[in-house]
Amino acid sequence: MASRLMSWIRKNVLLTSAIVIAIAGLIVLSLGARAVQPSPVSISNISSVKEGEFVSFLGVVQSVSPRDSGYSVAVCDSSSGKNCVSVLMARSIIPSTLIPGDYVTIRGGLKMYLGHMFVVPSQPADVTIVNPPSQ
Amino acid sequence: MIIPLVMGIILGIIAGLLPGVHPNAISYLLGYMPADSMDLSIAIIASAAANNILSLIPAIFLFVPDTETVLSVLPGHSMVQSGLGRRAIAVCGWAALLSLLFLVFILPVSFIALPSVYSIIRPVLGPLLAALAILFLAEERTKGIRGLAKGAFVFLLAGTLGIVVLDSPLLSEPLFPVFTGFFAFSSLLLSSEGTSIPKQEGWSASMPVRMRTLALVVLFGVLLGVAADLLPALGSPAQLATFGSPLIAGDPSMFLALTTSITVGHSANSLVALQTIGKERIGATAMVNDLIGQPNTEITVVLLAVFFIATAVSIAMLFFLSDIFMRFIGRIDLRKVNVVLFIYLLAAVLYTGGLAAVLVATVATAMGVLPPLLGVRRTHLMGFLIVPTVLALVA
Repeated sequence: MASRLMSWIRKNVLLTSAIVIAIAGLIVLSLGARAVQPSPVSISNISSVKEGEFVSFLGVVQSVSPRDSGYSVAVCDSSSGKNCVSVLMARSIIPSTLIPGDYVTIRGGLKMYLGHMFVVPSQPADVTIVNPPSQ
Repeated sequence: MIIPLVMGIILGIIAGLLPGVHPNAISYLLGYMPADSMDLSIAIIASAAANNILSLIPAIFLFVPDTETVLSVLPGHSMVQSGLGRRAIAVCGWAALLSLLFLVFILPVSFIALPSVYSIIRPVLGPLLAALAILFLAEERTKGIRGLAKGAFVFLLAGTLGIVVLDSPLLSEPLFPVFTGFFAFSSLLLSSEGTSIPKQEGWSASMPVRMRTLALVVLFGVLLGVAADLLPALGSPAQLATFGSPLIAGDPSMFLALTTSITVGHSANSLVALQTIGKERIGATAMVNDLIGQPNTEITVVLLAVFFIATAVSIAMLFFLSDIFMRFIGRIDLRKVNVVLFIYLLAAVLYTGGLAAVLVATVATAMGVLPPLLGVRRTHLMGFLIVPTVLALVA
Protein backbone atom coordinates (compact mmCIF):
# COMPACT_ATOMS: atom_id res chain seq x y z
CA MET A 1 0.00 0.00 0.00
CA ALA A 2 2.78 2.40 1.03
CA SER A 3 4.87 1.51 -2.01
CA ARG A 4 1.86 2.04 -4.32
CA LEU A 5 1.25 5.42 -2.69
CA MET A 6 4.91 6.38 -3.12
CA SER A 7 4.77 5.23 -6.73
CA TRP A 8 1.62 7.31 -7.33
CA ILE A 9 3.18 10.39 -5.69
CA ARG A 10 6.45 9.91 -7.59
CA LYS A 11 4.66 9.59 -10.92
CA ASN A 12 2.40 12.57 -10.33
CA VAL A 13 5.16 14.80 -8.96
CA LEU A 14 7.25 13.97 -12.03
CA LEU A 15 4.27 14.52 -14.32
CA THR A 16 3.33 17.85 -12.74
CA SER A 17 6.97 19.01 -12.72
CA ALA A 18 7.38 18.07 -16.38
CA ILE A 19 4.23 19.98 -17.40
CA VAL A 20 5.27 23.06 -15.37
CA ILE A 21 8.83 23.01 -16.78
CA ALA A 22 7.54 22.52 -20.33
CA ILE A 23 5.04 25.39 -20.19
CA ALA A 24 7.32 27.75 -18.21
CA GLY A 25 10.16 26.92 -20.62
CA LEU A 26 8.00 27.75 -23.63
CA ILE A 27 7.15 31.14 -22.09
CA VAL A 28 10.83 31.87 -21.29
CA LEU A 29 11.95 30.84 -24.80
CA SER A 30 9.21 32.94 -26.39
CA LEU A 31 10.04 36.03 -24.30
CA GLY A 32 13.76 35.44 -24.77
CA ALA A 33 13.36 35.38 -28.55
CA ARG A 34 11.52 38.72 -28.46
CA ALA A 35 14.16 40.30 -26.22
CA VAL A 36 17.03 39.52 -28.61
CA GLN A 37 18.14 42.68 -30.41
CA PRO A 38 19.56 42.28 -33.91
CA SER A 39 23.14 43.30 -34.72
CA PRO A 40 23.18 45.96 -37.45
CA VAL A 41 25.30 44.79 -40.39
CA SER A 42 25.85 45.80 -44.00
CA ILE A 43 25.21 43.33 -46.82
CA SER A 44 28.83 43.66 -47.95
CA ASN A 45 30.15 42.17 -44.71
CA ILE A 46 27.31 39.76 -43.95
CA SER A 47 29.37 36.77 -45.10
CA SER A 48 31.75 37.34 -42.19
CA VAL A 49 28.93 37.14 -39.64
CA LYS A 50 28.64 33.89 -37.68
CA GLU A 51 25.79 31.54 -38.59
CA GLY A 52 22.89 31.83 -36.18
CA GLU A 53 23.42 35.56 -35.47
CA PHE A 54 20.31 37.75 -35.41
CA VAL A 55 21.05 40.62 -37.80
CA SER A 56 19.39 43.67 -39.32
CA PHE A 57 20.32 45.52 -42.50
CA LEU A 58 19.10 47.93 -45.16
CA GLY A 59 19.04 47.01 -48.84
CA VAL A 60 17.21 47.21 -52.12
CA VAL A 61 15.10 44.36 -53.46
CA GLN A 62 16.55 42.97 -56.67
CA SER A 63 14.20 40.04 -57.27
CA VAL A 64 11.30 38.16 -55.69
CA SER A 65 10.87 34.51 -56.65
CA PRO A 66 8.67 31.71 -55.26
CA ARG A 67 10.64 29.09 -53.38
CA ASP A 68 9.02 26.03 -51.81
CA SER A 69 6.33 27.26 -49.38
CA GLY A 70 7.40 30.93 -49.46
CA TYR A 71 9.59 33.36 -51.37
CA SER A 72 13.27 33.92 -51.90
CA VAL A 73 13.98 37.64 -52.03
CA ALA A 74 17.38 38.85 -53.27
CA VAL A 75 18.30 42.00 -51.35
CA CYS A 76 21.35 43.93 -52.52
CA ASP A 77 23.65 46.56 -51.12
CA SER A 78 21.79 49.87 -51.60
CA SER A 79 24.93 51.83 -52.47
CA SER A 80 26.86 49.61 -54.89
CA GLY A 81 24.25 47.00 -55.77
CA LYS A 82 27.05 44.44 -56.12
CA ASN A 83 26.66 42.47 -52.89
CA CYS A 84 23.43 40.57 -52.39
CA VAL A 85 21.93 38.24 -49.81
CA SER A 86 18.97 35.88 -50.07
CA VAL A 87 16.10 36.44 -47.64
CA LEU A 88 13.69 33.53 -47.17
CA MET A 89 10.20 34.84 -46.43
CA ALA A 90 7.15 32.76 -45.60
CA ARG A 91 3.93 33.75 -47.36
CA SER A 92 2.62 35.13 -44.05
CA ILE A 93 5.64 37.42 -43.71
CA ILE A 94 6.30 38.92 -47.14
CA PRO A 95 4.60 42.35 -47.60
CA SER A 96 1.98 42.10 -50.35
CA THR A 97 3.27 45.28 -52.00
CA LEU A 98 6.94 44.25 -52.12
CA ILE A 99 8.43 44.66 -55.59
CA PRO A 100 11.95 44.86 -57.03
CA GLY A 101 13.40 48.32 -56.45
CA ASP A 102 11.90 48.72 -52.98
CA TYR A 103 14.24 49.71 -50.18
CA VAL A 104 13.73 47.43 -47.17
CA THR A 105 15.02 46.91 -43.68
CA ILE A 106 15.27 43.25 -42.77
CA ARG A 107 15.69 41.58 -39.38
CA GLY A 108 16.30 37.88 -39.17
CA GLY A 109 18.48 34.96 -38.22
CA LEU A 110 21.46 34.14 -40.42
CA LYS A 111 21.18 30.50 -41.43
CA MET A 112 23.01 28.04 -43.61
CA TYR A 113 20.44 25.96 -45.48
CA LEU A 114 21.67 23.20 -47.77
CA GLY A 115 25.02 24.89 -48.20
CA HIS A 116 23.77 28.44 -48.88
CA MET A 117 23.52 31.45 -46.58
CA PHE A 118 20.08 32.93 -45.98
CA VAL A 119 18.51 35.51 -43.71
CA VAL A 120 15.23 34.24 -42.28
CA PRO A 121 12.77 36.78 -40.78
CA SER A 122 10.31 35.16 -38.37
CA GLN A 123 7.46 37.71 -38.24
CA PRO A 124 5.90 40.34 -40.55
CA ALA A 125 7.41 43.19 -38.48
CA ASP A 126 10.88 41.93 -39.43
CA VAL A 127 10.40 43.19 -43.02
CA THR A 128 9.76 46.91 -43.47
CA ILE A 129 9.55 48.80 -46.75
CA VAL A 130 11.30 52.16 -46.39
CA ASN A 131 10.80 54.30 -49.52
CA PRO A 132 12.77 56.53 -49.66
CA PRO A 133 15.44 55.00 -47.38
CA SER A 134 16.15 56.84 -44.14
CA GLN A 135 19.86 57.59 -43.92
CA MET B 1 36.53 6.78 -58.42
CA ILE B 2 37.54 4.00 -56.01
CA ILE B 3 39.57 6.19 -53.63
CA PRO B 4 36.89 8.88 -53.09
CA LEU B 5 34.28 6.13 -52.77
CA VAL B 6 36.25 4.37 -50.03
CA MET B 7 37.14 7.65 -48.29
CA GLY B 8 33.49 8.72 -48.35
CA ILE B 9 32.32 5.40 -46.89
CA ILE B 10 34.91 5.57 -44.08
CA LEU B 11 33.96 9.16 -43.18
CA GLY B 12 30.26 8.31 -43.32
CA ILE B 13 30.79 5.35 -40.98
CA ILE B 14 32.70 7.51 -38.48
CA ALA B 15 30.06 10.26 -38.59
CA GLY B 16 27.28 7.68 -38.25
CA LEU B 17 28.80 6.10 -35.17
CA LEU B 18 29.51 9.40 -33.40
CA PRO B 19 26.29 10.79 -31.90
CA GLY B 20 25.80 14.47 -32.62
CA VAL B 21 27.98 14.59 -35.76
CA HIS B 22 25.55 15.71 -38.45
CA PRO B 23 26.07 14.14 -41.89
CA ASN B 24 25.94 17.61 -43.45
CA ALA B 25 29.05 18.53 -41.45
CA ILE B 26 30.96 15.79 -43.29
CA SER B 27 29.54 16.97 -46.64
CA TYR B 28 30.66 20.55 -46.00
CA LEU B 29 34.06 19.37 -44.74
CA LEU B 30 34.58 17.34 -47.91
CA GLY B 31 33.15 20.09 -50.11
CA TYR B 32 35.94 22.50 -49.20
CA MET B 33 38.82 20.04 -49.69
CA PRO B 34 41.30 20.90 -52.47
CA ALA B 35 40.47 18.07 -54.90
CA ASP B 36 38.66 17.33 -58.15
CA SER B 37 34.97 18.37 -57.94
CA MET B 38 33.66 15.05 -59.27
CA ASP B 39 35.83 13.07 -56.83
CA LEU B 40 34.55 15.22 -53.96
CA SER B 41 30.95 14.71 -55.12
CA ILE B 42 31.48 10.94 -55.13
CA ALA B 43 32.96 11.07 -51.61
CA ILE B 44 30.05 13.23 -50.37
CA ILE B 45 27.37 10.89 -51.75
CA ALA B 46 29.22 7.82 -50.41
CA SER B 47 29.55 9.38 -46.95
CA ALA B 48 25.85 10.33 -46.88
CA ALA B 49 24.87 6.77 -47.87
CA ALA B 50 27.13 5.22 -45.21
CA ASN B 51 25.93 7.67 -42.58
CA ASN B 52 22.28 6.74 -43.27
CA ILE B 53 22.98 3.13 -42.34
CA LEU B 54 25.59 3.34 -39.58
CA SER B 55 23.78 6.05 -37.58
CA LEU B 56 21.25 3.30 -36.78
CA ILE B 57 23.74 1.82 -34.28
CA PRO B 58 23.74 4.75 -31.78
CA ALA B 59 20.01 5.26 -32.43
CA ILE B 60 19.14 1.65 -31.54
CA PHE B 61 21.67 0.88 -28.80
CA LEU B 62 22.33 4.27 -27.18
CA PHE B 63 18.90 5.83 -27.91
CA VAL B 64 20.64 8.84 -29.45
CA PRO B 65 18.84 10.13 -32.54
CA ASP B 66 19.67 12.44 -35.39
CA THR B 67 17.16 13.90 -37.82
CA GLU B 68 17.24 10.77 -39.99
CA THR B 69 17.02 8.14 -37.25
CA VAL B 70 14.92 9.98 -34.67
CA LEU B 71 11.99 7.60 -34.96
CA SER B 72 14.20 4.51 -34.88
CA VAL B 73 15.09 5.24 -31.26
CA LEU B 74 11.87 4.08 -29.62
CA PRO B 75 11.29 0.74 -31.39
CA GLY B 76 15.04 0.07 -31.28
CA HIS B 77 15.07 0.73 -27.54
CA SER B 78 12.19 -1.64 -26.85
CA MET B 79 13.75 -4.41 -28.99
CA VAL B 80 17.16 -4.08 -27.29
CA GLN B 81 15.49 -4.24 -23.88
CA SER B 82 13.77 -7.45 -25.01
CA GLY B 83 17.09 -8.97 -26.12
CA LEU B 84 16.23 -8.48 -29.79
CA GLY B 85 18.98 -6.00 -30.69
CA ARG B 86 20.33 -8.28 -33.44
CA ARG B 87 16.85 -8.64 -34.91
CA ALA B 88 16.52 -4.83 -34.94
CA ILE B 89 19.79 -4.61 -36.86
CA ALA B 90 18.80 -7.47 -39.19
CA VAL B 91 15.46 -5.82 -39.99
CA CYS B 92 17.20 -2.51 -40.76
CA GLY B 93 19.82 -4.28 -42.90
CA TRP B 94 17.22 -6.23 -44.86
CA ALA B 95 15.05 -3.13 -45.23
CA ALA B 96 17.99 -1.17 -46.66
CA LEU B 97 18.85 -4.01 -49.04
CA LEU B 98 15.25 -4.41 -50.24
CA SER B 99 15.04 -0.61 -50.61
CA LEU B 100 17.95 -0.72 -53.07
CA LEU B 101 16.17 -3.46 -54.99
CA PHE B 102 12.90 -1.51 -55.22
CA LEU B 103 14.77 1.68 -56.12
CA VAL B 104 16.17 -0.02 -59.23
CA PHE B 105 12.58 -0.04 -60.56
CA ILE B 106 11.23 3.14 -58.91
CA LEU B 107 14.02 5.59 -59.80
CA PRO B 108 13.56 5.35 -63.61
CA VAL B 109 9.84 6.15 -63.12
CA SER B 110 10.81 9.01 -60.83
CA PHE B 111 13.15 10.39 -63.52
CA ILE B 112 10.19 10.67 -65.90
CA ALA B 113 7.30 11.53 -63.57
CA LEU B 114 8.83 13.74 -60.86
CA PRO B 115 8.41 17.17 -62.54
CA SER B 116 4.70 16.70 -63.36
CA VAL B 117 3.79 15.09 -60.02
CA TYR B 118 5.62 17.93 -58.25
CA SER B 119 3.46 20.59 -59.90
CA ILE B 120 0.23 18.68 -59.14
CA ILE B 121 0.85 18.04 -55.44
CA ARG B 122 2.11 21.45 -54.31
CA PRO B 123 -1.25 23.33 -54.19
CA VAL B 124 -2.99 20.70 -51.97
CA LEU B 125 -0.14 19.99 -49.58
CA GLY B 126 -1.34 22.09 -46.60
CA PRO B 127 -4.87 20.60 -46.29
CA LEU B 128 -3.44 17.13 -46.96
CA LEU B 129 -1.00 17.39 -44.06
CA ALA B 130 -3.65 18.85 -41.73
CA ALA B 131 -5.92 15.86 -42.49
CA LEU B 132 -3.04 13.44 -41.89
CA ALA B 133 -2.24 15.12 -38.55
CA ILE B 134 -5.84 14.51 -37.39
CA LEU B 135 -5.64 10.90 -38.56
CA PHE B 136 -2.39 10.56 -36.67
CA LEU B 137 -3.98 11.77 -33.41
CA ALA B 138 -6.90 9.40 -33.89
CA GLU B 139 -4.51 6.55 -33.07
CA GLU B 140 -5.37 7.18 -29.41
CA ARG B 141 -9.12 6.67 -29.92
CA THR B 142 -8.89 3.16 -28.43
CA LYS B 143 -8.02 4.80 -25.08
CA GLY B 144 -11.22 6.85 -25.09
CA ILE B 145 -11.69 10.58 -24.96
CA ARG B 146 -9.05 10.93 -22.21
CA GLY B 147 -6.48 9.15 -24.37
CA LEU B 148 -7.31 11.44 -27.28
CA ALA B 149 -7.04 14.52 -25.03
CA LYS B 150 -3.69 13.40 -23.62
CA GLY B 151 -2.34 12.66 -27.10
CA ALA B 152 -3.56 16.04 -28.37
CA PHE B 153 -1.99 17.77 -25.35
CA VAL B 154 1.45 16.26 -26.04
CA PHE B 155 1.10 16.88 -29.80
CA LEU B 156 0.14 20.54 -29.36
CA LEU B 157 2.71 21.18 -26.62
CA ALA B 158 5.47 19.80 -28.88
CA GLY B 159 3.97 21.78 -31.78
CA THR B 160 4.17 24.98 -29.73
CA LEU B 161 7.83 24.26 -29.04
CA GLY B 162 8.33 23.89 -32.81
CA ILE B 163 6.64 27.25 -33.46
CA VAL B 164 8.74 28.94 -30.76
CA VAL B 165 12.18 27.56 -31.61
CA LEU B 166 12.28 26.68 -35.31
CA ASP B 167 12.68 30.31 -36.42
CA SER B 168 13.93 31.65 -33.11
CA PRO B 169 16.87 34.07 -33.12
CA LEU B 170 18.04 32.34 -29.93
CA LEU B 171 19.64 29.43 -31.77
CA SER B 172 20.33 28.50 -35.37
CA GLU B 173 20.22 24.70 -35.11
CA PRO B 174 17.35 23.65 -32.81
CA LEU B 175 16.82 20.06 -34.02
CA PHE B 176 19.74 18.48 -32.17
CA PRO B 177 18.88 19.84 -28.68
CA VAL B 178 15.17 19.16 -29.21
CA PHE B 179 15.54 15.54 -30.38
CA THR B 180 18.19 14.87 -27.74
CA GLY B 181 15.79 16.16 -25.07
CA PHE B 182 12.73 14.39 -26.48
CA PHE B 183 14.33 10.96 -26.80
CA ALA B 184 17.81 10.66 -25.25
CA PHE B 185 17.65 12.77 -22.06
CA SER B 186 14.08 11.73 -21.26
CA SER B 187 15.00 8.03 -21.73
CA LEU B 188 18.02 8.47 -19.47
CA LEU B 189 15.82 10.20 -16.87
CA LEU B 190 13.20 7.47 -16.84
CA SER B 191 15.66 4.62 -17.28
CA SER B 192 15.13 1.97 -14.62
CA GLU B 193 15.75 -1.22 -16.52
CA GLY B 194 18.70 -2.44 -14.48
CA THR B 195 22.41 -1.93 -14.79
CA SER B 196 23.18 -3.59 -18.10
CA ILE B 197 21.68 -4.15 -21.51
CA PRO B 198 20.04 -7.60 -21.45
CA LYS B 199 21.79 -10.48 -23.18
CA GLN B 200 20.92 -10.29 -26.87
CA GLU B 201 19.71 -13.25 -28.90
CA GLY B 202 22.09 -14.61 -31.54
CA TRP B 203 21.98 -13.92 -35.26
CA SER B 204 20.25 -17.27 -35.89
CA ALA B 205 17.12 -15.92 -34.15
CA SER B 206 17.33 -12.54 -35.80
CA MET B 207 16.06 -13.21 -39.32
CA PRO B 208 12.86 -11.30 -40.04
CA VAL B 209 10.11 -13.93 -40.00
CA ARG B 210 7.58 -12.25 -42.23
CA MET B 211 9.59 -11.39 -45.34
CA ARG B 212 6.49 -10.71 -47.43
CA THR B 213 5.17 -8.18 -44.91
CA LEU B 214 8.66 -6.70 -44.60
CA ALA B 215 8.86 -6.29 -48.38
CA LEU B 216 5.47 -4.51 -48.47
CA VAL B 217 6.46 -2.16 -45.63
CA VAL B 218 9.78 -1.42 -47.35
CA LEU B 219 8.04 -0.72 -50.67
CA PHE B 220 5.68 1.69 -48.87
CA GLY B 221 8.65 3.30 -47.09
CA VAL B 222 10.64 3.77 -50.31
CA LEU B 223 7.61 5.38 -51.96
CA LEU B 224 7.22 7.70 -48.94
CA GLY B 225 10.94 8.52 -49.15
CA VAL B 226 10.57 9.39 -52.83
CA ALA B 227 7.52 11.51 -51.90
CA ALA B 228 9.68 13.37 -49.35
CA ASP B 229 11.61 14.83 -52.27
CA LEU B 230 8.36 16.09 -53.78
CA LEU B 231 7.18 17.87 -50.66
CA PRO B 232 9.31 20.87 -49.75
CA ALA B 233 7.90 21.18 -46.23
CA LEU B 234 8.70 17.56 -45.43
CA GLY B 235 12.46 17.69 -45.53
CA SER B 236 12.91 15.14 -42.77
CA PRO B 237 12.12 11.44 -43.29
CA ALA B 238 11.04 11.45 -39.64
CA GLN B 239 8.01 13.55 -40.56
CA LEU B 240 6.87 11.09 -43.21
CA ALA B 241 7.53 8.11 -40.97
CA THR B 242 5.30 9.78 -38.38
CA PHE B 243 2.48 9.95 -40.89
CA GLY B 244 3.07 6.37 -41.98
CA SER B 245 3.21 5.00 -38.44
CA PRO B 246 -0.55 4.36 -37.90
CA LEU B 247 -0.40 1.72 -40.65
CA ILE B 248 2.05 -0.45 -38.71
CA ALA B 249 1.18 0.45 -35.13
CA GLY B 250 2.43 -1.93 -32.49
CA ASP B 251 5.20 -3.64 -34.44
CA PRO B 252 8.58 -2.11 -33.60
CA SER B 253 10.51 -4.16 -36.17
CA MET B 254 8.22 -3.07 -39.01
CA PHE B 255 8.53 0.53 -37.84
CA LEU B 256 12.32 0.23 -38.06
CA ALA B 257 11.94 -1.19 -41.56
CA LEU B 258 9.71 1.77 -42.50
CA THR B 259 12.09 4.46 -41.21
CA THR B 260 15.14 2.79 -42.79
CA SER B 261 13.49 2.44 -46.19
CA ILE B 262 12.20 6.04 -46.09
CA THR B 263 15.74 7.29 -45.39
CA VAL B 264 17.30 5.22 -48.20
CA GLY B 265 14.53 6.11 -50.67
CA HIS B 266 14.68 9.80 -49.77
CA SER B 267 18.46 10.02 -50.18
CA ALA B 268 18.57 8.13 -53.50
CA ASN B 269 15.70 10.08 -55.02
CA SER B 270 17.20 13.41 -53.88
CA LEU B 271 19.82 12.85 -56.61
CA VAL B 272 17.01 12.45 -59.16
CA ALA B 273 15.26 15.53 -57.74
CA LEU B 274 18.46 17.56 -58.17
CA GLN B 275 18.70 16.58 -61.83
CA THR B 276 15.01 16.72 -62.82
CA ILE B 277 13.53 19.62 -60.79
CA GLY B 278 16.75 21.31 -59.65
CA LYS B 279 15.83 20.97 -55.98
CA GLU B 280 18.41 20.26 -53.27
CA ARG B 281 16.62 18.08 -50.74
CA ILE B 282 19.54 16.98 -48.53
CA GLY B 283 22.82 18.59 -47.53
CA ALA B 284 24.85 16.17 -49.66
CA THR B 285 23.05 17.06 -52.92
CA ALA B 286 23.30 20.77 -52.05
CA MET B 287 27.07 20.44 -51.79
CA VAL B 288 27.20 18.41 -55.01
CA ASN B 289 25.21 21.18 -56.72
CA ASP B 290 27.75 23.73 -55.44
CA LEU B 291 30.66 21.63 -56.70
CA ILE B 292 29.53 20.51 -60.15
CA GLY B 293 26.24 22.37 -60.72
CA GLN B 294 22.97 20.68 -61.66
CA PRO B 295 24.18 17.28 -62.92
CA ASN B 296 23.24 15.78 -66.29
CA THR B 297 21.75 12.29 -66.61
CA GLU B 298 25.15 10.55 -67.01
CA ILE B 299 26.59 12.11 -63.85
CA THR B 300 23.38 11.40 -61.92
CA VAL B 301 23.62 7.72 -62.91
CA VAL B 302 27.26 7.60 -61.74
CA LEU B 303 26.32 9.21 -58.41
CA LEU B 304 23.40 6.80 -58.01
CA ALA B 305 25.79 3.88 -58.62
CA VAL B 306 28.06 5.32 -55.91
CA PHE B 307 25.07 5.59 -53.58
CA PHE B 308 24.06 1.96 -54.23
CA ILE B 309 27.60 0.61 -53.71
CA ALA B 310 28.17 2.67 -50.54
CA THR B 311 24.81 1.61 -49.10
CA ALA B 312 25.49 -2.08 -49.85
CA VAL B 313 28.96 -1.91 -48.23
CA SER B 314 27.49 -0.06 -45.24
CA ILE B 315 24.85 -2.75 -44.72
CA ALA B 316 27.65 -5.32 -44.34
CA MET B 317 29.46 -2.95 -41.97
CA LEU B 318 26.22 -2.48 -40.01
CA PHE B 319 26.08 -6.19 -39.20
CA PHE B 320 29.81 -6.39 -38.44
CA LEU B 321 30.11 -3.26 -36.28
CA SER B 322 26.82 -3.73 -34.42
CA ASP B 323 27.99 -7.20 -33.37
CA ILE B 324 31.20 -5.72 -31.92
CA PHE B 325 29.12 -2.94 -30.34
CA MET B 326 26.76 -5.42 -28.67
CA ARG B 327 29.63 -7.46 -27.22
CA PHE B 328 31.32 -4.30 -25.93
CA ILE B 329 28.28 -2.63 -24.41
CA GLY B 330 26.98 -5.86 -22.90
CA ARG B 331 30.04 -6.10 -20.64
CA ILE B 332 29.90 -2.69 -19.03
CA ASP B 333 27.68 -1.10 -16.42
CA LEU B 334 24.79 0.63 -18.21
CA ARG B 335 24.58 3.30 -15.51
CA LYS B 336 28.17 4.31 -16.30
CA VAL B 337 27.34 4.35 -20.01
CA ASN B 338 24.33 6.53 -19.27
CA VAL B 339 26.38 8.99 -17.21
CA VAL B 340 29.09 9.24 -19.90
CA LEU B 341 26.41 9.56 -22.58
CA PHE B 342 24.60 12.29 -20.63
CA ILE B 343 27.83 14.30 -20.19
CA TYR B 344 28.78 13.83 -23.85
CA LEU B 345 25.34 14.90 -25.10
CA LEU B 346 25.15 17.86 -22.72
CA ALA B 347 28.59 19.02 -23.90
CA ALA B 348 27.50 18.56 -27.55
CA VAL B 349 24.29 20.53 -26.97
CA LEU B 350 26.24 23.29 -25.19
CA TYR B 351 28.87 23.40 -27.95
CA THR B 352 26.37 23.55 -30.81
CA GLY B 353 23.99 26.16 -29.37
CA GLY B 354 25.23 27.52 -26.03
CA LEU B 355 23.00 28.04 -23.02
CA ALA B 356 19.93 28.65 -25.20
CA ALA B 357 20.31 25.12 -26.58
CA VAL B 358 20.59 23.73 -23.04
CA LEU B 359 17.35 25.52 -22.13
CA VAL B 360 15.65 24.14 -25.24
CA ALA B 361 16.93 20.63 -24.42
CA THR B 362 15.58 20.99 -20.86
CA VAL B 363 12.12 21.96 -22.12
CA ALA B 364 12.24 19.12 -24.67
CA THR B 365 13.25 16.66 -21.94
CA ALA B 366 10.25 17.74 -19.84
CA MET B 367 8.04 17.12 -22.86
CA GLY B 368 9.81 13.84 -23.63
CA VAL B 369 8.86 12.29 -20.28
CA LEU B 370 5.16 13.17 -20.71
CA PRO B 371 4.07 10.42 -23.16
CA PRO B 372 5.20 7.46 -20.99
CA LEU B 373 3.78 9.14 -17.87
CA LEU B 374 0.46 9.89 -19.60
CA GLY B 375 0.32 6.51 -21.33
CA VAL B 376 0.26 7.80 -24.91
CA ARG B 377 2.55 7.29 -27.90
CA ARG B 378 5.86 9.13 -27.93
CA THR B 379 5.48 9.76 -31.64
CA HIS B 380 3.02 12.57 -30.76
CA LEU B 381 6.17 14.56 -29.96
CA MET B 382 6.64 14.84 -33.72
CA GLY B 383 3.98 17.57 -33.52
CA PHE B 384 7.17 19.61 -33.06
CA LEU B 385 7.77 19.33 -36.83
CA ILE B 386 4.22 18.76 -38.06
CA VAL B 387 2.42 21.76 -36.51
CA PRO B 388 4.82 24.45 -37.85
CA THR B 389 4.86 22.67 -41.24
CA VAL B 390 1.05 22.68 -41.51
CA LEU B 391 0.85 26.31 -40.34
CA ALA B 392 3.47 27.39 -42.88
CA LEU B 393 1.60 25.66 -45.69
CA VAL B 394 -1.92 26.84 -44.87
CA ALA B 395 -0.95 30.39 -43.81
